[in-house]
Amino acid sequence: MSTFPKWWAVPCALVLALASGVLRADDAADAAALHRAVAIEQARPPAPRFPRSAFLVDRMIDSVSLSPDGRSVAWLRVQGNQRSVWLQSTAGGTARQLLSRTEARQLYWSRDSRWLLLESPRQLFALAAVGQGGSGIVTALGGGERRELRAVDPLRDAAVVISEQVPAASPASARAWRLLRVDIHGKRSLLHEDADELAGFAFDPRGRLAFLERVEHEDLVIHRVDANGSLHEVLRCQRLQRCNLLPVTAPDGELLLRTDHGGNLLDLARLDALGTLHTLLTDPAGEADLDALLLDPVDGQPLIASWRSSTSAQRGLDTQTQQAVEAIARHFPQRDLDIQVGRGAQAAWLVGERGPTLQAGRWHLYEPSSGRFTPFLDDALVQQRSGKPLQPLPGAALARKIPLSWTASDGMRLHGFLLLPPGADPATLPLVVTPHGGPWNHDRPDYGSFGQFLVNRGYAVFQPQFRGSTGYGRDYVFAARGDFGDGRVQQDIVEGTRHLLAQGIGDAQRVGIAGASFGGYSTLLGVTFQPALFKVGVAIVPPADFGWDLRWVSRSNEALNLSRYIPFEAWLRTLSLDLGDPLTMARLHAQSPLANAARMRRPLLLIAGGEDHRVAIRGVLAYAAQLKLLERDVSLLVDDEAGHTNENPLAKEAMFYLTERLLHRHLGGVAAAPPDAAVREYLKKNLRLSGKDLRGE
Amino acid sequence: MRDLFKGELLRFRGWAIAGAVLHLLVLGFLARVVDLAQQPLLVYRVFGGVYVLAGLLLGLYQMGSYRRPNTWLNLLHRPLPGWRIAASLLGAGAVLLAVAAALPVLLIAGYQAGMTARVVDLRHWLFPLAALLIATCGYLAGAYCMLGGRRHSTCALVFLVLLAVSQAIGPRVLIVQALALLWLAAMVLVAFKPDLSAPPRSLAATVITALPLQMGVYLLALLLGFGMEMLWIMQGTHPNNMSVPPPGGHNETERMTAQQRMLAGLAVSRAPQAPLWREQVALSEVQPIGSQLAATPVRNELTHAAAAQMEFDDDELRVRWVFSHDRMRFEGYRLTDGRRFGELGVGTDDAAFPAPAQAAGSLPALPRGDGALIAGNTLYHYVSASHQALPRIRLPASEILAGVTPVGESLVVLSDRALYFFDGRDAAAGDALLSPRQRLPIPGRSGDLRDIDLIELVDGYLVSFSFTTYAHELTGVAPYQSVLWLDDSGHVTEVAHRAIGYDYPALYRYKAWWPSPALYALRVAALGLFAVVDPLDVTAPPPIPRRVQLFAGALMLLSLLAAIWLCRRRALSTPARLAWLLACAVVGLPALASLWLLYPAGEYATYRRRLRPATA
Repeated sequence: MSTFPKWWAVPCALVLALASGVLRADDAADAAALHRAVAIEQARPPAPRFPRSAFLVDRMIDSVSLSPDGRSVAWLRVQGNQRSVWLQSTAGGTARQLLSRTEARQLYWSRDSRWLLLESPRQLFALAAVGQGGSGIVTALGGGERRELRAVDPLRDAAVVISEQVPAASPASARAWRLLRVDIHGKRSLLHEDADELAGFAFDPRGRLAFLERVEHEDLVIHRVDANGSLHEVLRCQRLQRCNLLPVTAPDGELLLRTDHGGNLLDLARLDALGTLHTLLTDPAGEADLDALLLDPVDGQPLIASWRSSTSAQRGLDTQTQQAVEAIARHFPQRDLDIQVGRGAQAAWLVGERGPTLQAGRWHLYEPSSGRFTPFLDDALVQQRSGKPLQPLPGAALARKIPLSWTASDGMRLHGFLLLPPGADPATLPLVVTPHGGPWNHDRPDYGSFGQFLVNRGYAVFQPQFRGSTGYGRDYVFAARGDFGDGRVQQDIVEGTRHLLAQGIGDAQRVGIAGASFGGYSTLLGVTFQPALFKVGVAIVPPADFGWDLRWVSRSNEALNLSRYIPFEAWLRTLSLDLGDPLTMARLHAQSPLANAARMRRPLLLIAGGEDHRVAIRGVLAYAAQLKLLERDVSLLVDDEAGHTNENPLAKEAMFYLTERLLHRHLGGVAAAPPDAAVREYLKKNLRLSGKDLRGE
Repeated sequence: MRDLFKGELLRFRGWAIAGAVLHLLVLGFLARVVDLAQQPLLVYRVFGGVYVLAGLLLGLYQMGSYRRPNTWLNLLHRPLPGWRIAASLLGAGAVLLAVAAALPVLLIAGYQAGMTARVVDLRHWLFPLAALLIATCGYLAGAYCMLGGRRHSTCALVFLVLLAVSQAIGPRVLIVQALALLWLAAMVLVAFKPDLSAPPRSLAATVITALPLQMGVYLLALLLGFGMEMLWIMQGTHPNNMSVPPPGGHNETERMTAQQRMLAGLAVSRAPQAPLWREQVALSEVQPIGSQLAATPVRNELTHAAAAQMEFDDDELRVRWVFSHDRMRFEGYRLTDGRRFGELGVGTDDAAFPAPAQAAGSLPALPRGDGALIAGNTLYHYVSASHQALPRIRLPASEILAGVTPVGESLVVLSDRALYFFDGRDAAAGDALLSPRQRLPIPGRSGDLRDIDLIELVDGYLVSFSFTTYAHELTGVAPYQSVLWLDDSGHVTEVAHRAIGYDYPALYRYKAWWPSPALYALRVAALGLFAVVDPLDVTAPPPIPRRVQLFAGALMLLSLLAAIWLCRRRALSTPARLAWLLACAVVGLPALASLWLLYPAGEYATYRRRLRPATA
């Protein structure tokens, strides 16, 4: 038997010692930062209790957009089901209503700032913004041809780029895909037609189609388009490598893209003529994926990059822009900023201000020449149930999101957020762990109603970004290795919770777990396999068997929605979740809450939707039936009309109430105020199982 | 004869012209409002009823005016055979009805065909003939009611009932109507004799009169039973109307919610998973699976039970598509201006549908304006954007596709023999024909099947089939419920079989049979003449219970004994007497009643009086 040479032990030990030393140093720094942040929260004045309805609000302002010339701002105003289009000059004056009713969900400016493009599920409508005639439908969207808006044409004054499927000539023949330019009057010109689906495109600065990205089997392949229209492969993105083309190439004709090809983080990169990628911009903290990239409204070149994972950060791509970005960041410290740039003489910039303690967004005008900020627009809130206007909750009463990191037992650095009630001793607080859904998703450093509600009820809230979460690079996502049962991913959540408890945050005897979708699944795992840690669980739309649920989704229409280009099964297989592998499926099932229902002995609230296309209601019902048969303390609320997300305000309040009541009983937070008659009626109709708590036992 | 014919025409011409004008006005008004060629069966029945009534009144009035003894003798006292006189009168009546009933229909059909883009098929051009035949049947029935013996002449109405309930399909309906007309004409000719009160003498005349009479008595018996049922309902103890239906019976099962039905089935299950399933069912919304076909359409049928399904509107294109039996394609016209839009067939070349197609509503994930069409064993996707019908689901050729129901993320397709499960993803992606992931055979006959209830399990489906449709009568299977578990690998296990009780005693259920098994058989044969068996209506009736057979036999024996007694008191020849005895033995009470109605006691007395001098 061959063995390693003994002399290897010395360098190996050195490497390990160095690594552990680095990790210990990181942990110490993280712990110190955490304690500093906690101390700040503890020193804040306590917040009053707010009614549930204060957290159940809708924002009235949506899709705020600055015109490319920086002279006007347009937005959608939402009142119930009615949406209207509003416009205001950046030079002053009052806002005026351009259109009293629209189905648009998003609005854009044409490049010449003369048209507002209103995108609704069924059509793209051009609305004259400067009093000219000619408003009308640009193109239908959706339908059998699955036509979709790809971009406002970055180089033409008034045009858009759309894609569509060409219906097959017969069931036996294949479909084709088209990329088209459509002018504001609906005139179409074909840019490219292909037998493969088209995922991206890029024009050169003269407006000629220069690059195309096609879906070829399980890969995204970028092709250069020559003068004859022929395609030449220049880059192949495999195994879920992200390759998102910017719509305009660099001035020298080289392709710009956001990609993690050949690396870990999603960066801004340039592809040279030889097919070599050069990173142009990466997260200065070396931690997060590039989240957004603002393009110059005139030439389509990238201007400002944003990262939003543990913290929100922006960076200008040239010196002048970076100076402006720094000035804005100084003016709005610790805020998540959405910057829009106007071009031209005296053009203003628009700065959107968001943050965890800002329930309603605010927008400001920024004049780069003078460095002056002017408040421009405040979001208005309405109560979801009554539709009545409501003042936003004061920022002083809301919890900040404290980013934290810890080292998992296998040495991987993990991240998360902690929210604490202002002015409270963190060591005595009951702790609620709220894993996010997905699992391929992440919590962002902005306002979240559920977390703030729990904090207001006296709970410390921990939002773990377990491995598999997005936003922290490709390695972070792939580190899960498909271990989504009672395995590595769940261990991350448990270890993160124990790390917090070890830091003196939270009462170890009063820890609960609550989450939706995958967070709900994690909740079920927690109360099943870690009952000593988690004393109570609230699982919203939880798959009771993750593997089975993925297979169920793979047979449904939802699979087409979830995997945009890569086939759903291939996508999962790359993430080590091969639905066709009996061993994988058997492992996930053996470790599922469904197969281990007998081990679940904690009080549990299940909430599910009858029209959920992501989590099969039958899985939830089968699990609840097992628990009922085993006489466990379980409550089950099923809203037959609800999907994966329940938009019914009454349902949201009922969910808040039930959560509040259950957590209060078992963790000792603030007692729930009794529900009103409408919520009682809703509960009476939809509560199919009542646990001991709801039965008053 | 010609003068008589012309005289009758002139006598009623004013009424005929007025009737035709009124009829035309009504049809014209309706044609402006609706498409008269695409109306539900009920509308055509109402029109048919009006034609029959018009004919009936004409027959009663016309013959009533001649029936008074002197007038009748004057009518017959002509140098013409009786049948030619009858033919003159009846021919004139038929012509009058052709003007009043058939001509307006013909004109409206011409208007629709020539001046609108509506579909007018060959079958629609037969409507005027059908109107004429129906009206003439009514007319002849009215004539016989007036000329036949007062004790039995209303038996002619039997043929009008036949017209209403015949199951004949397509142009062959006209043959049934023509046969009824011929029989009625024969009855009138038999009755067209100097002594209107005399019973028929010849064998043929006796058969022509007695058979409808016996069927009439049989129908009267059914009507009597129906009347008694009304009293039962009023009393409040009828199982259909009891606030709490009899426990364990089919009414109870039918009134259950889908969830209750599933739980009732699982209550008798001995499967080890049954307790868990019961808990899950109690927590679940159980999904009913239904059929979208009221009846399987047949090419060239004159009317259709669900005519509304033979057309559908595309709200995106603002086009109405109407199925043409001649073209076997949908014909489209614009809802905005009524102008022709085009033709919709199968695929890009608009091929003919292999069977009459019906609209089956929309399906999840279909774009707005799109919908589903069902034709024979195939489900088509109607694509509004390209106005094409693309085949998406094709069942085996021997099966009829009856409906499609979205269940969770799957599509469940019902045929006359099985349930098929298709993945929703396949349905949403592409235009290719779908392959079923699973097939679940129906554990019984489609016609008996009343309720299908389904819940999704983690490891498959639990499906309850309740066979109670005809549990109240003799054509249905003995009611039962079967609960099947279709596991994820496609294996089917019956996890519960529940026998459901009858709510009605056997004599009630077989009330159409025991009064006269022979006439019941005749009724079934008459109704089924030229009919096409609908695969969705096939049942598995059990054998007739022995006690019901004994009861029917006893009635026949009683009829025979009573007939022996009655024949001794009627002036009948020996062959006739033997024939009547045989008829009463075979047909039972209706034959006995017909014997009594055809040969009144007065005949017997006359006979006895005639005998007495001879024997003196």
